[in-house]
Amino acid sequence: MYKKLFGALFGAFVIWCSTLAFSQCGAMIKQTTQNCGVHCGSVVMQSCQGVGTLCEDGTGEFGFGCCGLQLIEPGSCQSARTGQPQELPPSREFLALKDALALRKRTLPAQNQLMIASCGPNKNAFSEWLEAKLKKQRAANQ
Amino acid sequence: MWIASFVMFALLAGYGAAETLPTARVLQVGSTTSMEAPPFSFYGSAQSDKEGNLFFHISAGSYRKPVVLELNRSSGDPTLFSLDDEELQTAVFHEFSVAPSGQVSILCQKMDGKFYALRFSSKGSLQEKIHLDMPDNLSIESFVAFDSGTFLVSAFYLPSASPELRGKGFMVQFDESGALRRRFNGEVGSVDLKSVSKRINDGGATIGPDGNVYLLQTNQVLVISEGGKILRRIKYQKPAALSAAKIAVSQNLLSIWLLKVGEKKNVTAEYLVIDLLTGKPFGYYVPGNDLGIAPVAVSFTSHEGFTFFDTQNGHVDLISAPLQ
Repeated sequence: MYKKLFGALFGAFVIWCSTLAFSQCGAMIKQTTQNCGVHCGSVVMQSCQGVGTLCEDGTGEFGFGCCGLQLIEPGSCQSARTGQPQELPPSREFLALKDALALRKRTLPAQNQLMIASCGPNKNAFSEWLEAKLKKQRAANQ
Repeated sequence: MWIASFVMFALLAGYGAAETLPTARVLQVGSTTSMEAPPFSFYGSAQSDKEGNLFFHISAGSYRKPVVLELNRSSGDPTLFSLDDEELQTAVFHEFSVAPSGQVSILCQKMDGKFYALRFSSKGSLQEKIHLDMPDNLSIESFVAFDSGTFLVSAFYLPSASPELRGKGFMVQFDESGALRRRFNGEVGSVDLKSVSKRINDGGATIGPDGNVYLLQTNQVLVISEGGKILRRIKYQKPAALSAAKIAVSQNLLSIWLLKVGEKKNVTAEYLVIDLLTGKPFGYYVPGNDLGIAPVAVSFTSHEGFTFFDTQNGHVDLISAPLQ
């Protein structure tokens, strides 16, 4: 029983360490909270500040070289200009999509995008709904 | 003789000239419709079909994910258009287009640099993958899919292109098989690559009820037939600091979204509506306070006016603001 418990704890520790190792994208993440109107709660704007372990300003690998990147969180409700539509994918996704991201970096340096970010009481509600909806639609289309 | 010459000169001088902007009118909330979708975020401009259904490139965790969501006005049930194909999982999303019939097409680029137009069924399944013979090193500005299956693409060359091409405009039309039908030389201006990334670009395109493409450029709208003929140039004026970022056509009215980026990178919009019969401004509109802060309309029709997107109590609301 102790072996199992130790195994589980060790596994959790390894996952935590790898998450930490791959999630650093700057020396710190700056969060700005703004009021965004009567219909919505608040906007959380995140931006990477400084130089992290895996990136330097403008030189880091795309995805990790994210200094200066601004993310408008899906929980917000502001319309915003994303300076350049760079993206910060989850680390495991990044490894699989390195080439795609390199292509994206090359092909989209000049496009500025408008993003309308909407808010909801539960930030995960849309992801859950999307997943369920896609599953249902795929089954119906097969 | 002198009078006739003067009249002729005045007519020639005035022909095609942009009209000055009319006094701004304030848009106010008309009616609100709740939709069966939880609050979502989306990139770029929403598009609509001839029934007024709305289509969004939604933020599904990452910009690269090509997921388009349709909000159907009559059924209220959303449909999703996404890529399940293994081979396309790593494709880069560029643009999407909705034909007047409601057919969704996505323009993407694969790892080998080749561009593909992906056509979807109305139920959201991938129907066709069409290779478009375009050069690499392009930044796509507009992508338009016609009901007949032809496509129009406008773009400019990236800094990675050969020196003589960098920043130059590019516009082509493809037939339904992806073969080049027409190249529009000289109809798309060059961009300044140093400044282009510092502002929201001018540009956009839509298919009008007459079946023609209305291509938005910095100070004019080009009207192009499906056969590739340039039918008309509609000149317009806008404040220099504003970007003309979206266009919609409904009956005899054409609407241009003029976006302004604030100090905190928040974006607000004003709207120029042009009467297509005269080519002159019909009205200039700014959103009223009751539409909330920073509202940007998602669609325009001549009978409903502008439609705004909002979220309340865990679902999406569409708010109409009629023309005053």
